Amino acid sequence: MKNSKGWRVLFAVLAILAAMGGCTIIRSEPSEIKNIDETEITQGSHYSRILDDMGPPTKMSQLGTGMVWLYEDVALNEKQFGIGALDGPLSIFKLNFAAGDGSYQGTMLTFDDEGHLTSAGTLNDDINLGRGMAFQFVFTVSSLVDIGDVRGTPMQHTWGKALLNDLPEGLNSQQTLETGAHGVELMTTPPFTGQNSLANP
Amino acid sequence: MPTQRFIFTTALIVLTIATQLGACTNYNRQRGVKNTWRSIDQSEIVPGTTTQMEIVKRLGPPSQVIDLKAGPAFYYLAEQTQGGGVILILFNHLEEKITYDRAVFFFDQEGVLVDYSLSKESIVYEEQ
Repeated sequence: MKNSKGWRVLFAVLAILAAMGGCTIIRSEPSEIKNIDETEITQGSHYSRILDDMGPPTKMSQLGTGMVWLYEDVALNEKQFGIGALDGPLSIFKLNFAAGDGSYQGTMLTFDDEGHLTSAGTLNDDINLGRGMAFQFVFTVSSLVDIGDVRGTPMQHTWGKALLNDLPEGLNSQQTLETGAHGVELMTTPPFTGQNSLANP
Repeated sequence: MPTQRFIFTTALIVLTIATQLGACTNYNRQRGVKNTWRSIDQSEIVPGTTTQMEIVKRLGPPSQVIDLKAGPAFYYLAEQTQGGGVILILFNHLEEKITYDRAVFFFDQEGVLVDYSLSKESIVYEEQ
């Protein structure tokens, strides 16, 4: 009798645990990009000094007769809440609700043809990744918000391969902001504006 | 009777822990070029003397070649993603850290090194 009661308690505990589905936190840590020291780096500073202080930029490109550097990084945080079935075959699945946010840091520097700093600006911004929902296997943990715009493949990995795309993409790739010849673009820029709008339907 | 209670309690604890310990996960992946710039003696790279040819011979082809007016720049990038966490039924937690090990070399029109820099963050170089 006692045993029967005990097993009922055990199953009840396990059922409650299963019913909770799963709460998930996905965190993506940023790299450590140094803030520009505005007391030491001023208009006219040579790029060698900035290179020594901040290291290589994350993106760089020719800009007219000079060049432009971009240092940028993103920290992401996604929280998910899951609800599952109490019993039966569906108990191995969960319905997940997710919301994501993050922070962005970008510093852009432009230089003249002799390598002297002509302008510098930093943007620190909060990112709203929106919300998502999915029906998943109970042990699955995957992002449910759209992080494609802020966590993509660095263009240095795909720059050469893009030149081998079929026409007209192969030709157009030389005009994109990824080649290092036509400027740079902040990671958070919507794809349907500016130069990129030509490549979108 | 006390023995049965002990067995039952133990079973309850074990099953509860087993339910909670769904899975632990850990991953490490690397993309981009090999970070060979971490394997060489930096005193051998001398602005004003070292040439493009020597850099490519020592480090291999760069991730990107940027044609600046003042001369070309070679950009090397190695990317490492390290992640891990626990996947439980009640609670999941994943952490991911992406490291971009970078090196950039600026040359003049004659192909002689003008300046270079390695990123502060780095990936441990592993011999193949």
